[in-house]
Amino acid sequence: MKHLIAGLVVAVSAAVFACSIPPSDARIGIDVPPIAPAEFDPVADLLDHSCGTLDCHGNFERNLQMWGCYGMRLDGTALGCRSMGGTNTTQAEYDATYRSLVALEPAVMSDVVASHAVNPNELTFVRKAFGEESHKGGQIFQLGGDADTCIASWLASNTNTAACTRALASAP
Amino acid sequence: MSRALLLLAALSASALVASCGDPVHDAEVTALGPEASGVSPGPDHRPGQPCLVCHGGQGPASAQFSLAGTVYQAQDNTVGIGQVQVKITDVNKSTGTATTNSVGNFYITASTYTPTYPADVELDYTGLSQAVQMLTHIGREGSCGYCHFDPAGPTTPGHVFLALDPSDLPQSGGTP
Repeated sequence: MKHLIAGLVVAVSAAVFACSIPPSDARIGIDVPPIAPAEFDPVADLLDHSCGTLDCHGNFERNLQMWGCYGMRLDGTALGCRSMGGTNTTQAEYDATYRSLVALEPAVMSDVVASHAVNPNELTFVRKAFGEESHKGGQIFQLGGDADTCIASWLASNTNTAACTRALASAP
Repeated sequence: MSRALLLLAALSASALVASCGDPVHDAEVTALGPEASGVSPGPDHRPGQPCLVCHGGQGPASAQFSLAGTVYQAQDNTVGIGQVQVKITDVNKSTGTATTNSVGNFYITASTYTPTYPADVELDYTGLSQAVQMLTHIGREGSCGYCHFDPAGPTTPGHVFLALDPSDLPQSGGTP
């Protein structure tokens, strides 16, 4: 009888242990803002212009890295946008910027997106850009302005591209 | 006993002070290497290097700059060019100016002018039809050499130059 109980305990323990190991291809699901070019590219263009120069986030030394025609390029693409004699931001560069931005604080990003950006400033990059947290580059965007609308709308998965365009046009 | 305690306290304080250095900054200074042979520290030294590593307030140079760098004649050569007017305009439309010397170096001291970034830069030279505008703004860095170094590639446009080709420069302007 004792052997039977011991065997049962071992079997149950083994079953519990087996169930606690996640499969090797398991993924953690998070909510992310849209990556579709129509939704993200206008946001990325604004961020690249305002934040992505080579001395700022167009730099491998930063945690948040951006690629594009205003700064760091991928794969030896010519520096500068088309209007500067170079080539405009490529899709691979948009994608690289997206990955860097979304992966910076994935759990917080997920919360912000899931809440439809009720509090975008939970994200560090938002707080820094809007002057709510110490930032070497200072305050880049104004709360309530077009850049605010652009970024918040993207985080809410409904990018206001017109606001992004206006923000880019008026950016220093 | 009290002497031993005092000695221990002095040693501890010394160790604390010594440990307050910035090893990252120290490494950046070291990476610049020694002075070029025959060039003493001064306005002509270290053309093309990121000036504010030493002149940015953390030392070891005593003179503190807000913007400094080197302007070369052309994209395909590294001959410094003098008498170039460097004008920086910050986000508040406040401007600072400097003129390059015979090796192409220029600087603006922090006490004279410190921009509020982002800022735009342009180069003007007697005989050029129009000033040469930097294609993007500066976001935070006062050393031209921080971003502008050779060879040009995905993370740098290469050295700062006035003309694509030396033949584009006005003959009358000349290089001192």
